[in-house]
Amino acid sequence: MYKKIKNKNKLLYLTKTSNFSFEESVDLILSPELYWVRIFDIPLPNEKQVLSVVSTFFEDFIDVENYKYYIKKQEDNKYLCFAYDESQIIDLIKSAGLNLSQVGNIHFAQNEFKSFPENEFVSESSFKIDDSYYIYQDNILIKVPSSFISPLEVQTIDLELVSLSKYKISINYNSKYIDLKSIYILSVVFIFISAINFGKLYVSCNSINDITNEQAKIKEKYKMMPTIMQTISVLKTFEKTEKRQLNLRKELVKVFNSKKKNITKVSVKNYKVSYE
Amino acid sequence: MNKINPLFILLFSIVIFLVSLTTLNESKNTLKVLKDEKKEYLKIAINYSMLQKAWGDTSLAQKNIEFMLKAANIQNAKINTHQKELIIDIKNASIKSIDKFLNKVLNDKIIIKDLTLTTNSLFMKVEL
Repeated sequence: MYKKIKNKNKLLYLTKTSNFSFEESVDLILSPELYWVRIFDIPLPNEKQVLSVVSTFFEDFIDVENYKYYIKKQEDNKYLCFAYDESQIIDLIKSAGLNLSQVGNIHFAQNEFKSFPENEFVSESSFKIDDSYYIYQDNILIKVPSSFISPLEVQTIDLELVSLSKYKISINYNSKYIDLKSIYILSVVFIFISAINFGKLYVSCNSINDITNEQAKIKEKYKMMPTIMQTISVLKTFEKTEKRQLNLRKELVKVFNSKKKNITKVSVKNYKVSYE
Repeated sequence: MNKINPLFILLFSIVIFLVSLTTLNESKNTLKVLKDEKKEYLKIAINYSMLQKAWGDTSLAQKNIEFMLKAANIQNAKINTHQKELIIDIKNASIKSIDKFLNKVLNDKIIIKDLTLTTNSLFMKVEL
């Protein structure tokens, strides 16, 4: 037998006509009318390999393109194979009045009622949930009309007493165009690139600090003024002085090299050279 | 507790990615600006240091002038200091000595404010 897990959330039984009014988180059991199930003899060693080929086994019953699959190994080379229409289940969850974010685990009815306590007054494996009758026939759970079973022999299942199995499916509620795996891969890629970016940012911030320190060293080395504005102001004064002094020297050299022989006096006033 | 919608996780990771990208770009731009600023800063620092040594340090001007006067063999020069000015007054000196002294002054980084030169005299104000 399979391992049972304790139910944390309210358990609801989803059919095509369900209507709920819950605001808390719920787990769902899918009625047999919401999935296809078959037992196939497939000579492959594990569920993963079976999953890759199982759609071909359903080709005779359904349009395999629109379905997803779930495999449960029963014994060697014998598998219980489920096919379900994800978009149909999402639509039914919404039409049942549930918010998609409320829904926790989703289970197949096929796996959840096999171990339900039987009593001596009911037929071996028939039971009733929400006014619908079900029976295990050749190990497959099927919904049957009430006329097939005597109501007196049928036990009504209280969902509070059902312990869910570990066999559950995950539904991609998000988009028809992107599956859950791709969402997680994309998220990981974005987070990874972000981590690289933050690493580069750290290096960049360090470089910024280094430059600030280097500027302080330059300031000290070249004995600059306290602020860059003061330094620039003094530098401009020096440049002005240099320009004036160099011009003055050029003018004096011109006068000294002139061919006028009778120069007796040379004067410099306000950086202007005059001679007599 | 409700399950976290994977689309929110994707959205969150995209937001983190965009934030990291924007912050990194801003940081890179800041770094580029700072690198350019550093280059400019270094250029200013070198210019400042060079010009400061050439024209800013007037503390040795008086000693240099005295040395130049001696080198030009001028004995009778009067040197006075007045309000950050060094006044040099040379009278009755040979034209050769004055020429030698003036050549040295003009080849040095001395800030000449006023100058009056005749064949046997020189009057000069130098900034201190």
